Amino acid sequence: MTFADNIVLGLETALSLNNLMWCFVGVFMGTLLGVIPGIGVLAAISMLFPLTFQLEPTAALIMLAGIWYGTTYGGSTASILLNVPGTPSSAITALDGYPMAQQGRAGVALLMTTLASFFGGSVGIILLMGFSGTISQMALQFSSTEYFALMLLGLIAASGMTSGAMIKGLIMVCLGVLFGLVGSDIYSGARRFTFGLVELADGIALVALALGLFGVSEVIASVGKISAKGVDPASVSFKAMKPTRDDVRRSWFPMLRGSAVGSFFGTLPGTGPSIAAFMSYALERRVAKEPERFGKGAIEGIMGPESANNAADQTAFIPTLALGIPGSATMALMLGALMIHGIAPGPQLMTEQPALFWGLVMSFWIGNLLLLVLNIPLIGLWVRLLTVPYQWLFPAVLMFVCIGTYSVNNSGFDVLLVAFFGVLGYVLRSLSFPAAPMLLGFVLGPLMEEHFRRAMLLGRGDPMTFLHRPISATVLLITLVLLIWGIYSAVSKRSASRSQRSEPR
Amino acid sequence: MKHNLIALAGAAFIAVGGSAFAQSYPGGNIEYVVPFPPGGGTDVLARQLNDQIARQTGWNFVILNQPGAGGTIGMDQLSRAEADGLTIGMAQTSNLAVNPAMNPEVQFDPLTDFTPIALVNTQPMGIITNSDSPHADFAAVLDAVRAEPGSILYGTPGNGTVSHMAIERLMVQGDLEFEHVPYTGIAQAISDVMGGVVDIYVGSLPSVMQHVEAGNVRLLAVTSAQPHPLVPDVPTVASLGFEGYQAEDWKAVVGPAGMPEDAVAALNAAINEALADADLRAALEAQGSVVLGGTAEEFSAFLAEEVAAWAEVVSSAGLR
Repeated sequence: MTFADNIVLGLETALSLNNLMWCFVGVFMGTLLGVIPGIGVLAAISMLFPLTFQLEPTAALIMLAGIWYGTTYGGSTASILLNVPGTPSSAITALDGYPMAQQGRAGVALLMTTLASFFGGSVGIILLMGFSGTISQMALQFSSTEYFALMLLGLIAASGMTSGAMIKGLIMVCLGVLFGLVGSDIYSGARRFTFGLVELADGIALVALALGLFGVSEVIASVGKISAKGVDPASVSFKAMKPTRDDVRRSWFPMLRGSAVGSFFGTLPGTGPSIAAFMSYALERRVAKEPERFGKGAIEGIMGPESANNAADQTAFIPTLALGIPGSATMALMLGALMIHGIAPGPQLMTEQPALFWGLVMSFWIGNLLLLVLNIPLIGLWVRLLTVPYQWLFPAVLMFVCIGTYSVNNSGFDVLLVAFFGVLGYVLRSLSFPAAPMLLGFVLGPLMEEHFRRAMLLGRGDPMTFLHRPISATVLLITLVLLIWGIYSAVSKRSASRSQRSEPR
Repeated sequence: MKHNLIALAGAAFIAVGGSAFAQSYPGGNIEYVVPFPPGGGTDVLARQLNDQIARQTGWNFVILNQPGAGGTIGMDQLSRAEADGLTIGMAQTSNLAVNPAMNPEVQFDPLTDFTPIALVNTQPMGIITNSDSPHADFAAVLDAVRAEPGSILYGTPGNGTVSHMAIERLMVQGDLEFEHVPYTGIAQAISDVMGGVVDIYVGSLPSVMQHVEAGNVRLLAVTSAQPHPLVPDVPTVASLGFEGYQAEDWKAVVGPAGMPEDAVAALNAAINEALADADLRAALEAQGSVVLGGTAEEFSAFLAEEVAAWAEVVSSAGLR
């Protein structure tokens, strides 16, 4: 079959009334759950997973996928308006989106992130359609040495990510890595830093750490200054959405770069939209002519990450569908939906089930178009969800945080962890330590350890293995340059403005 | 045990079974502990089996995914559940026979804290190598490792998995020395296998078969006692001079210790009837399973053998 045949087949499948309906259900649920802070996409998909037993597999996947990329659209809304990320992948959007809202430019931020999401999503789908084979082949050449080098680069890049000193960023990365090391050592099964608690055998739950650091600490910080915030409906009217010419001019390159970064990280196992968004933000800050604008409402700081996370959402399907290799727990659930119906995921899926594969891919276009409609004309609806007075909203947020955390592992212990990280997050925030690098350190730290030790095992104990392989050597060199540059610019900036107090986030 | 969200979603309109005057089994919803996350192999099997039982009997199962610590958290919870026959779960080689011997922190005893109900299925491990590997067959791999102990790196889906234990058993039985490189699943390992970075990889037969069929890797041996029906020409490890060798990932239904006999009998009969269903059988066989079934007593005896055998491997290999 030719490419055009496949597209026609895909459109026929995706546009059937049944599939269209489930696509709408998926993106609608996704947006709703994305807007409400505290319910992650994994929790949402696991809750709706049983429903897919009753659907035929194409419709089931279309719906689950709709929830997946729908939450990323919706996630930015809460990030911008409340400084509470609706989803972890939108956490970074809060850094510049929320200051924009405080400056009365919430409408612009919401419109532009939706456009960035659509742009990034489109780039991701085009790549998924065209380069499925090629891109996954590239990622397949990576072994543990390359993954270790790339992750180290990610961490160093991330520590300079937020405004304030790079040293503070590095400290937070290290703290994150330490939290990440809690749990079973995958090489020996030995339990580390678990204090004998069996609940910590698998480590600290990501959802507990993320919701505590970003969600609960925000609620704590807002207690007592309820009237100071709140969403002004006028700020998201159509009129207030009109971006300035300067906004548009500044947005093009971040969208392009964000889509590229996102597409790349989406295909790598273990990375996904959150890390893509972090990386994109770090990149935008690095290439910016005036990096000091970041963290204070720079539009580049929302356009890059929002294109990146949506591009990553789509390209995450490349290894999942083309190779049957899920890059994340959510993708593993998608494959689970296939297995329930007796369809074996793997390289043969594209040829044996072309209607399913291409129907799903074409449904992404429809879903993204639906999301444009849901997120621009209907933005008022979602904002109204958030205009609920804070004394009502915050208890509800806390409740959803608890449900969301509990439902992932059915673990009450994880809810206690949320409380712990909420307090920790509040303390860190008061001392203006950035929380985002800590999250990245937490995610990447254990993966880096795993890959480092595996690379050493495979290299039979020779550390030079990292320099013998060209890709990892190159990446490590870039990391070193970045580290020196970061420290140098931090030192020179400090001597230039010794008297100036650094702004919290 | 508390109903969780997923349970509530699944059983939204059905009252919780608490009647003290239930006339016959089950007389309420059956809570079903799956000690792994939704969508994984154990979860899929549990749902397929329960759907079939539900079709035949009209019983209502509420699946409770309780992942963590390689399945031991869910099993620990199951061992402490009320033994009224309304809480059962799915156990397997790793969390019922291997982990208790390996991990001092596991609280339950596999033989005294559970009521065996029925074996469901079993899958052997497949040993693969890359297509251009210098080793023509598994005998060649064994020769290489005998000639130079420690020269062969083997990948597995993780520490304490049946794949890992399969090679540990081989090392104990044949006095061999392989080097272990744990991954977290075949998804991560496959590029290293294809690139020849790791010499061999051991994983469940269905997980390796998709890569064998795609032509990326070669299947050298299976770890079952008998050749596997899906790949009858591939030799067993046992046939290469390791008499009595087997390492299989079986799955079985168990309940907490002291379950009423009529409940065990009803469940066992229902599981066997479900496993006789042609569609379910075909689905399981297509996934590389050998369907087992059988009486609760047979399972009980089998479990005792397995627990003893793996405890022996764990202590000989010094893994505890």
